[in-house]
Amino acid sequence: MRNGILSKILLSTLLLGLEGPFAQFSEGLIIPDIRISHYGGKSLLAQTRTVGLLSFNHEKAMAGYNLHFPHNQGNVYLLDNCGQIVHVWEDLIYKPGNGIRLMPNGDIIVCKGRNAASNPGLHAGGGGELIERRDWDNNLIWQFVYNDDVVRLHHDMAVMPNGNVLAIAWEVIDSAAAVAAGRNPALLSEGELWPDKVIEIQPDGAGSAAIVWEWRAWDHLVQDFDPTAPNYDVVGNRPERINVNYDMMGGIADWHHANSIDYNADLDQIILSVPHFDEIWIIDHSTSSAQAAGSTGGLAGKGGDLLFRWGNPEAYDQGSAADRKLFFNHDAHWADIELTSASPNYQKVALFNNQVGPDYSSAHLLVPNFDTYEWEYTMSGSTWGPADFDWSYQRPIPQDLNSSGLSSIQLLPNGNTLIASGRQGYAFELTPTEEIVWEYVNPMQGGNPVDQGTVIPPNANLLFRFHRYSSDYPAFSGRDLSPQGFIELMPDPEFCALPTGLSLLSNPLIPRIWPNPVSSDLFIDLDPASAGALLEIFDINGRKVFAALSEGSRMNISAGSWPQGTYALRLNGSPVSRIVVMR
Amino acid sequence: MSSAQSTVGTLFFREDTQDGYLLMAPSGSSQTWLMDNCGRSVNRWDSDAPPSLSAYLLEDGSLLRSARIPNLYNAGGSGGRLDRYAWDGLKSWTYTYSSDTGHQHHDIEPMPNGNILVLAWEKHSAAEAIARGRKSETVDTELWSEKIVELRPVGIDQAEIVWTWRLWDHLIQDQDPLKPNYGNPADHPGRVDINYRLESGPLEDWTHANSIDYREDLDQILISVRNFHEVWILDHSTSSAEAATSSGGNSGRGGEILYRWGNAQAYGRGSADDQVFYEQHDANWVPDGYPGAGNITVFNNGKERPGSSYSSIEEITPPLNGSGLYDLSLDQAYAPENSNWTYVADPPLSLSSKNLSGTQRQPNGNTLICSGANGRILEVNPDGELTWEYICPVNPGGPVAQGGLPVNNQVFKMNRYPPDFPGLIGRDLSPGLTIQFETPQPECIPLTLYQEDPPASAFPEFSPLPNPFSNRVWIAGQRTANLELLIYRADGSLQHREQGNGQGWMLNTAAWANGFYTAQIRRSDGAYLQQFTLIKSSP
Repeated sequence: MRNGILSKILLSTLLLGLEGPFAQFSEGLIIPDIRISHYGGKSLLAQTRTVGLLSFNHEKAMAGYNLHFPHNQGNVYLLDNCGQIVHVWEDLIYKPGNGIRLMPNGDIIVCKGRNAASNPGLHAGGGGELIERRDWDNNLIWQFVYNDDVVRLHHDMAVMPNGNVLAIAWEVIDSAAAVAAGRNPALLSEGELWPDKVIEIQPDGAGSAAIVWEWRAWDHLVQDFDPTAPNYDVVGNRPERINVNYDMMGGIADWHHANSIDYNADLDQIILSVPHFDEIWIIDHSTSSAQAAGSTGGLAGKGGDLLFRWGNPEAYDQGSAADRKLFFNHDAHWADIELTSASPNYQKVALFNNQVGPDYSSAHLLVPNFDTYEWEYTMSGSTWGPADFDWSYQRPIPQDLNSSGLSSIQLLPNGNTLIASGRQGYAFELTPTEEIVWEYVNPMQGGNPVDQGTVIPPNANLLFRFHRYSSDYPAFSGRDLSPQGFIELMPDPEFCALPTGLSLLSNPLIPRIWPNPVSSDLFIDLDPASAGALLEIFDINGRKVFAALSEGSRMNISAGSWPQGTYALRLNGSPVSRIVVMR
Repeated sequence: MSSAQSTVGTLFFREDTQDGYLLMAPSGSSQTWLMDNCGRSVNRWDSDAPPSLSAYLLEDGSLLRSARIPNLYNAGGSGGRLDRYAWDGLKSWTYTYSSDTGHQHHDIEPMPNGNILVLAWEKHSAAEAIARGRKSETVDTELWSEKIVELRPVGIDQAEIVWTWRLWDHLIQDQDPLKPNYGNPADHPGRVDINYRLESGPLEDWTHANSIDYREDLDQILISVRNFHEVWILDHSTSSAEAATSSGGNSGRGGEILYRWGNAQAYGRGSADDQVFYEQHDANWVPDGYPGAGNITVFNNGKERPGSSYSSIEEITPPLNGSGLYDLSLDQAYAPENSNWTYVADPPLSLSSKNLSGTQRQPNGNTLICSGANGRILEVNPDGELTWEYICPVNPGGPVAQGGLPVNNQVFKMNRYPPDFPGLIGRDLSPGLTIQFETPQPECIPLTLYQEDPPASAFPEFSPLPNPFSNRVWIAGQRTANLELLIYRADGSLQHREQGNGQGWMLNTAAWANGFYTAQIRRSDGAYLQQFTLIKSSP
């Protein structure tokens, strides 16, 4: 029997030289006893882990499955918390283009695209081509293509409760039309402007979908450049309008670059993340398309004018750079997936603040001040509140979270928070006290799996987002979720089940478990001092598969009916070892 | 975020609270609850829209509820649709009333005959308004005037408009003798000065009526007109044709205002010093048989009240004479000079709601108060003592958990229906769960009132040391042998009960949650002796 102290020291030494996301691994958590194999007394020195699962506190991480849709390849993976693949939606043609949602019935709705070459005339970062819905078995239910000379899907979509989908798209405004609308000709460096629009598509039941509603940023302009052009006004007096000449990007065509969209069914409103304005915008969806093109109608009575904007009041001449709160923000959404209103953070706005520092990012919650009587977001003076974020998170070493683009934040139903740093290909889970309890690095470099131990440089294993759905999410009911191996090559299949976060030293009476891996009969030899101890075995998603009080010095447990995979053994409530079931 | 002390739901509940069931339609929620005094749901109706803004329980157990639908009126209280739901939640009638000539807003009033009085806006262009004598600099593109329609529901989705009253038919203006209705507003208190306003800048929502009540015995209507800081009484016994004129009806005055009160400036018979109402809400006649029957109760929001913007409740007795009219002396404002009952909280700003809000006299003489902007509902007795307090736990996305802080939990108003209300007879009123998420469900025992006045000299005074306290508190005093100490949490549940057996009580309070407690000392016969507040405050 080994207690692993020596190996812990060894591993710590190995990890000391690491920086970036991996540093936390050697700081915040007890180093897992990953070198000790509990069968045959043979010690296997594992390689240093660089990809896949980096750390996992079984006690504190939220049980569930991770929806993983890495860049530069087409497969959608569902991973267990060990990083084992439990389901794949394969696609050998398209690539992420970008948002994805797992529906409660097990379908996915997903944005796909290829690359610049598929529409070179209308391409910028985040460019997509189509949105489709596929069932659990990857059968296509409907597909909607929106990608031509004048419009192109990009970045994100939001699924509405009725199954319709809201999506972001560019529309091409040529130079003459832009100038006629009051755009400064000096701010047309690419000769075109691609303002964003939002379309709502409704599946037609015949494999496609049709546009049933739209909103165009171009319909809600103000400008103080050309008195002869429409919408000439004092920009600072029209916060509900978009200044035709606000630009921080050198006049490129991709004017707004909206990179996230979410829908609030309670308010019938849409939120957009607009990184090229360093703002988030909220608009009304209760309008008709005609009203959405104007300034009257809808629940808020303001048509398609902005109901709320936040992050950079300079964009409407009500502040300076010093008032800016958002910096190339991503993933602004109302926190509600799998949450209920009992969650203290329900429907707060969560977002990722990419370029908040020169070399680090942050994640935030924000509470817009919505007045249910006036049905409006209350302004304080000439801007919208609040004055600051409701919650802000930076890594203890800020540079450990550094992604100039991409990235996501998800509030989990157990109160934890899952954050993905897109350019680092790195996702991690925080407890409410900001303890890191789970870490994963996308093991696909340029879309191709790498060996465990490979150090992937930044920007080579991009993630748009990373989401987890809890074990009891309805999509998983009745599904075969047995592990099918790992994405990474040369994986260490035994790493995961070992406890992390709890000291083995507190429970010295570690039983001998044999055989391990096991196929049917499992034997646990106990120290006589452990008699009467509570033995519990959990699967990797935290479900208890066995519990008994120990009797005698040897327990015989039938594992023959357990699905293959890794299990955790707890003795008197403390994790002590892992068990691998293999057949 | 978590707190052992209650942040939402019933925070205080004394045994002299009026029995009954409260109807709550939070202004951001599509759900409407009927709940008991403990805040436990006894019924819930689900709609697809937030209210606009009121809801009523009907005598057959149905819910009549207004609904905010997308519309062309951009203002608070904008609505457009009425729905009726059976007790079991099934929609039995729906009717949309939303156009340029009539758009439901704020309040409705179910009538005894089954009809519904609806407050509505009607749009007038700037040109129309100016042609009627409105100063041009005070109108931008349009002006909304008030209108009342009486709907008779037909079938499942129709209604017949059986009666109409339009403010636009009762204007007066002193700007231009060449335009209609030229005259001195002070000489025409039955009319509405088209230029009366206290706001600066053009505002479409000119009058902004926000409540309507109906009194069957007089066949009169009472409305609260926020932007005039007045309540008005109108004759409903007219035909619609008569209501457009100044004759006819029981009053003989057609659709003119029979009585107005709160701000005599609005008809040129007073100054700013005479203004009592400041953007008031929810004017109601006190029903027959209730203390104060026939009086009018009003939630006076106090917005921009000189000195301090606290809210108050005003109860006034209108000068109703035997002919169903209201006495008015020449050149004087309508009586009374002052409210005959006013509730001001202590300190005054502890009741402050800039908008929304309501009040309802209870059968036992208490007064229910809804401080709408912060979703706080309280009841006070005629002496102004708090008997009940509740915080609405419902945000637009649903109820928060106990200990959570709702941020958008506004409530337009809340009415309580006594247990003998016909719509409740025969219904299953067994309480469900509290509306907020809460585990375990709290005990709900009303605080006992003292049974006799404390004999001033017979017993020593007790005092808590220290107070606020942390891990222990000493309730100091003499001769405790025949006394009992009871300590209640803020929600009325019992925290601690102990017989006295020496000199005071030394309590270990380490495990108590931070917050307010009420301590009572009683004699062995149960008689109340002394009551004081304890505050647990541990770092």
